[in-house]
Amino acid sequence: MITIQDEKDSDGNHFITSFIRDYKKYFPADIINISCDKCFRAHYNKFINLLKNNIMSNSKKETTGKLHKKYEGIQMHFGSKNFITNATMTEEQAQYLLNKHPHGGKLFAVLPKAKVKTDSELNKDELITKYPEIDPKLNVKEFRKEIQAIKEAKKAEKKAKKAEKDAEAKAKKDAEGNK
Amino acid sequence: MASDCLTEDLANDFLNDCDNLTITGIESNVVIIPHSDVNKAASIINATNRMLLDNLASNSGKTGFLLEGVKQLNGYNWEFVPSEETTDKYRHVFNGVILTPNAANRLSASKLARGKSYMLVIHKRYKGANQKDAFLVLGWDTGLYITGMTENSKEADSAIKFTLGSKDDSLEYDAPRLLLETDYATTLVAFNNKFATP
Repeated sequence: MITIQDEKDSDGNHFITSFIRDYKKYFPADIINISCDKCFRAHYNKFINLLKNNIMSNSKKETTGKLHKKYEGIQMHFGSKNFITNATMTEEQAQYLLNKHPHGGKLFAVLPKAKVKTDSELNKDELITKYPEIDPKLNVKEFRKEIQAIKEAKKAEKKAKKAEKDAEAKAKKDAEGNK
Repeated sequence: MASDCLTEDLANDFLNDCDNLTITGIESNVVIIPHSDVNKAASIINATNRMLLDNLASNSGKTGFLLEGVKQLNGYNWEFVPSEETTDKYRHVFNGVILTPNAANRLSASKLARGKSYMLVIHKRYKGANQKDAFLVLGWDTGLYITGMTENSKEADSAIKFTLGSKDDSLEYDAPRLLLETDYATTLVAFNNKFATP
């Protein structure tokens, strides 16, 4: 850390300037007092923890959500080591905060888009709503089989239509060729 | 009726909670927000208890400012002010200390004393049951103004001491209100971010 405070890089730029710029990107509300060693050490450790917990994560995905500025740095949940900022928030974290945090949607200036569940994630009631053509009295296993059958039928129909369209286009082309 | 707030009757008991009796003092830091920068439309007073704020928001592009403190050098109080001529009101008072009288802080102190009013958010040492009573807002209605500022080379290590208080002609309609944005942790994040709005 002494290196950051005192030294410069090969181009003559102070490391501390770069550190402050990077730090401010993730913690815009913090005031860095570089003349206070203890304070600076706290900021440094906070930044290193952020790098360890958030940036190194493999589940990084851009999120559509944006936190209110006053809630930047909020913990995922009580006791969590993850402090979420707009710069580091993943889609999973945004959905978690939206659905599980006590403050919920009020945390967000821009709400993350609602996650669209796949059929395998839906419960029976949700499936009945989505597929009203299937008999709701079937059990879940049979219901899912029916869904699969419908999907395959739709796929076959699409394939047949495409083949018919291709055949028509070929016939038209042949007819124009003969002229 | 629209004027019930001036004539309402006592409706609940005053009950003590032996696990959450009051304790003295405030946490070190205080947030000072220019009164004109508070977005009262976006701030929410609890629908069933007007002494509780559910949200405190600043206007777009505005932020509060931190007064860093130590020990119990900063402090607040309030008092009831009866009136024979109009409604009874309250005076909110905050006593603060600036421990580093450098150029930047002297400029900020000078700006503080330029006649504008401020809302203050206090982080109390007393947190209450489930930490719901930790934050107190002074100056919600009209704000606090500088009523005194001194620096004495023979006292208090030459720190700059100041007082913000309600003006006699613009007292508050109520005692300080509590602030709780759902829970303590969320309110603390907003407090640490000085209730800034981009």
